[in-house]
Amino acid sequence: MGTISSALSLVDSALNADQAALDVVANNVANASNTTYTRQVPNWEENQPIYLNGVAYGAGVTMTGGVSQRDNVLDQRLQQQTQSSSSASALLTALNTIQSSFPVASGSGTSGDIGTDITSFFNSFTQLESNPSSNPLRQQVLSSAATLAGDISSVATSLNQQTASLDQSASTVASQVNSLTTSLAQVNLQIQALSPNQDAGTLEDQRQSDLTKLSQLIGFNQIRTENNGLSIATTAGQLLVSEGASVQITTGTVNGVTHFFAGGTDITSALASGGGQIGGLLTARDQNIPAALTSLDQLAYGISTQINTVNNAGTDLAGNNGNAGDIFNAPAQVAGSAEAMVVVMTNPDNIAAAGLGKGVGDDSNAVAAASLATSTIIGGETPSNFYSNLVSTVGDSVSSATNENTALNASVTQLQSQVSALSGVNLDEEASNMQQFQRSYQAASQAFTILNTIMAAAINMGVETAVS
Amino acid sequence: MMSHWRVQLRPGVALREIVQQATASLLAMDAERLEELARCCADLNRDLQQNGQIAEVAAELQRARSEMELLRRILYETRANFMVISRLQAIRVRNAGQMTGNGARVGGWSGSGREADYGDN
Repeated sequence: MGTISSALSLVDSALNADQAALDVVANNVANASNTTYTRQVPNWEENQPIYLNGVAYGAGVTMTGGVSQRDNVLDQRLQQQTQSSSSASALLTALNTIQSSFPVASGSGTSGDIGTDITSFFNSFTQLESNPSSNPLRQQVLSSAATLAGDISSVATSLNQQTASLDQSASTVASQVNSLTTSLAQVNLQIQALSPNQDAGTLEDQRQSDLTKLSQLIGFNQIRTENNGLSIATTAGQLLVSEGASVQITTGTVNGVTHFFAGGTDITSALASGGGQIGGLLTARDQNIPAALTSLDQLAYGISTQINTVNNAGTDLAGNNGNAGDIFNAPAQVAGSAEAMVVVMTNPDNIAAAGLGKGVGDDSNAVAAASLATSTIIGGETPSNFYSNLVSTVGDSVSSATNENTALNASVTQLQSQVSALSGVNLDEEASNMQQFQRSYQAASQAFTILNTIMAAAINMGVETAVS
Repeated sequence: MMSHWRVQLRPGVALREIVQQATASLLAMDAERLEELARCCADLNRDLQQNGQIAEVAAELQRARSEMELLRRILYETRANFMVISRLQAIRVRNAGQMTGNGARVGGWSGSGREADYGDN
């Protein structure tokens, strides 16, 4: 009787286990289109055998639950790469917008091109030399000055608007980060309460989903803690999640732009260099745009002050000697010169084409003004070359960001394809893939080392080229 | 006789392009091309050292800085990827060994891998 009972119990146990395993499979199928779901496999445990008259009878197995097929190290690596590529992508988008603020002359026209404006402005003085008292030529000088000032001011305004826009975008990202860190803290509490010693299944899926979203927004490091807990800190070490508690990122205005704080510490620069969308946005806002604006301010300041100085050193048609007045508004300082640049002279007679104390037919002061075009008056460069270098620098930044974005995306794909290869083929093929991977890395590393050696040799010769 | 790196890289191919090719090849896991490039770089370095021509390529080196920075970054990323992939592969090999019941290694991959046969420096 006991034997029959044991046999029935064993069958019952097997049926229950099979049913539980089918539930796991059904759950996998039901979540097949859920991108955040991790496939589970049944976990079997052998039941204690039953002893009858000293003989052990197997009691079958019990399914203790589903075990998710995940790898935390791989998940973390993908999240790290996502942080890098998201930052590069956000930076590239911002740089493209910055570049579009600098119109260039094309076959269809030169409207808005500051380079063309500079040439036209100084050429108008050259034309004035031929007939210094000509009203139309004087009007042309003021007209080209207004075009130059308007276009420089317009670009500066556009860059300032982009700063404000990036500022707003970064604040929005910070809000999204706060939502995710709050969610992560809550999930941490649930996992620690329900699954302190094993994979938390769908709860772990939710945590990984939140981490993946977070890695698109911000750079961070994660630290596994006791009882399956998790803490998250920025790449510079400021804690954002400590198991069941989250630290909210707050904002405040510093020098006209939004700064970000965690626990009272200003983490703005750490966020900029950390990765994620916010990293790219803040890099563009705090580095690329200020650099472009500073150069534009230098250009505006240089042209305005030099032209005003020359005009006040000559004689105008009204007979003013040495005090003919300013053509552009006189900037008090370099910062802000570009956006404020405007033509203040309204009467073309006040253009001092003649030299000091000379007659109205003299053109020596117009010659002096025209010669500024070929003088190194701005940062050791002529105005045209200075502007050309500025545009070139912006273009180089876009080019570098494009390459970086492409390469980092490819690096993510590289990891994903290798992982697919690992799980999709036999171990011999895996070994071959691994060898190819290793050979490639070693050879590239060798090439890099040699090239860096060459660069270091160049440094010793006084050429700054090294890559650290 | 024309140096190996000049033959391999063809006349007119600049240092900057070597670095770009290395980055692209690394992302494509093109081991053969990377080993070829590594040999070319070794030859180039020897030529420059022996002939003192470093000043001739100084301007090219300057132009290649951002590309070198990108290669350095991708190398770093690839190394991190490689460590993760190696770890996963080791786990799968170990699991496969356990399934065969004898704990023997499955597959022919060695953790240290074979040394690349490029260069002489």
